[in-house]
Amino acid sequence: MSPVLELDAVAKRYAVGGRTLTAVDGVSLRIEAGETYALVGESGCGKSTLARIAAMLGGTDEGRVRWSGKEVSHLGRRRIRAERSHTQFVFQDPSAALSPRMTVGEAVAEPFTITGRSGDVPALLHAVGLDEALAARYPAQLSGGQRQRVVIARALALEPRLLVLDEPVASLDVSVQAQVLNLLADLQEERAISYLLIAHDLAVVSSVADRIGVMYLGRVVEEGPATEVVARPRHPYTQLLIASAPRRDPGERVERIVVSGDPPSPLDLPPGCAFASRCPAATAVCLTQAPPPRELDGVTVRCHHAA
Amino acid sequence: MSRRSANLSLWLSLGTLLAITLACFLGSALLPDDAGEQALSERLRPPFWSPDALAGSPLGTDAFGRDMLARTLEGGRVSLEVGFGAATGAVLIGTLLGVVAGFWGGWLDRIVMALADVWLAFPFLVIALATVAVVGSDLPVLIALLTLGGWVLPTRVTRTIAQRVRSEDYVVAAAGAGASDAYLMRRHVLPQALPVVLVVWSFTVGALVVIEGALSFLGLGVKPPTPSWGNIMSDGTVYLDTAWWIAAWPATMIVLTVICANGLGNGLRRRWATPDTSRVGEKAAAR
Repeated sequence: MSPVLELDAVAKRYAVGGRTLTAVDGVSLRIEAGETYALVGESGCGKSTLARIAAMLGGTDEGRVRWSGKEVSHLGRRRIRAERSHTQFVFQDPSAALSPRMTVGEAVAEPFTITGRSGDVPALLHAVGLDEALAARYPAQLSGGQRQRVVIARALALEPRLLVLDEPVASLDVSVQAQVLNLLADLQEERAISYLLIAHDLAVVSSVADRIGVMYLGRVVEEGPATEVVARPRHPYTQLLIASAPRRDPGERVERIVVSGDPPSPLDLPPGCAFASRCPAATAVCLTQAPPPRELDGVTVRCHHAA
Repeated sequence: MSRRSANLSLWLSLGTLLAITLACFLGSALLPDDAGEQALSERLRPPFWSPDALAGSPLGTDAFGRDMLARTLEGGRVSLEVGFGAATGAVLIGTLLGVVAGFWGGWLDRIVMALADVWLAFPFLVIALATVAVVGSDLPVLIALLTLGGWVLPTRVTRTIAQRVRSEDYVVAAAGAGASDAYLMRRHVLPQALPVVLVVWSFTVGALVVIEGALSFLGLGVKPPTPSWGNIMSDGTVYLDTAWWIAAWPATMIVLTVICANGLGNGLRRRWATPDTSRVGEKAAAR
């Protein structure tokens, strides 16, 4: 069976004052049915741009996007509308993702209004753990966690195969974050749905993801099974991310990784490895040659020195 | 201004405007005195407080002995038809153009905005005078002309709203569920534009009633014997030192109508205080 989502060397560039900003630089990835793929990286690394490309909310300049084997990246605006139920998007800020003028019921029913399909709004609200009495409320009358549940219910309305979740818990209280992540895990079990989960926090994703991709300046620098990537990070940037995550036990001794230097400007990428300017292990070859992807125990790494 | 007094001015403006409108539209039909009926023996009779007043003509008579009350109401009907009609037309055209230009952007947006800039660069009164001189000044012509006089403000305002709403996450979500552009404009952009459009409409009514008055005063608007506030005033200027009331009644009505239309616009703007509506206030004030 073809993967639910397949990105084939997609790239997105923006013109900024006569120069070119490369937001996404030739990223390929595949997500199988029922799988959670987590994409982590710092702000500005291109992960949100990639999320929008995966959901076909923003175009690509290069490469292909396939939804369950069907290429959608070349479809015109009108033809892609018929395919949209395949992939739905969950936004970072649930307050902005809901119209202040629509009740919860209207918002969840909107995909049905748009597509002309019929659907069961109370059942959707139950599925995300909300009381159907909330259908008459406006978003402003709900808590942040409730709002995000409404956004998820709306995204589920068209029974998508894939949900693209752009930092779905980043704007929520820590206590609510776990609830929403648990809800997502339950929904995946019930509906065999796939997730592309965008996050900047490895701690958030390591517990729910099957695979993890680490993005740095528009490229996936390390990708593999979640347990493997977290337990034995091979790319120096992944090691840095994991070392900087807060620990459960404050007394635990952690080897600190000290980085110096600044990341290069995405307007002016260096010829070699993009991380070389901050990398503690960088050598001469890193400054001149871009590291090709290498396969190590099921993990793909872009680093000259990974072993 | 406090919220309470702002509300008071809103209701007072709305009430007065409604009263003027009803009086003009119903009054001109109900009054026994026909506005065009001349009585040369009763020329230039003063209003009711004067001992020379004519019974049945409380606002006096004009140079042909026509009843000023009937003429002011009938003239008001014509002036308000032009004002309301043209303001409504301007707001409809402007909203359509603004929403589409703001939502789609690109070359369409550039053309519409360039047209608006060019249009504003011409003095409107000169265009109006030239048009009337060529094609005449029938009521439909006047309404069409003043519609063109008012399209820019609603276009600009609704364009800004459409640009903002288009990139809201909930609109992107609806597009992501397969919504057409027409659906997004109708269901998401228009409801947000509606309050602002109503505010713009009120201000435009006031502005266009003045322009209609100016055109008719110059003899280029509504042609006698059909009365309008502008041409009654124009007739009255000849008699300002002997029968001032002829010009005074329509002038008072224009001033009152404009104050109320602006009061209504301002009141609605405060009531629906949003960034969009406060920008309308600045633009209307700048004009």
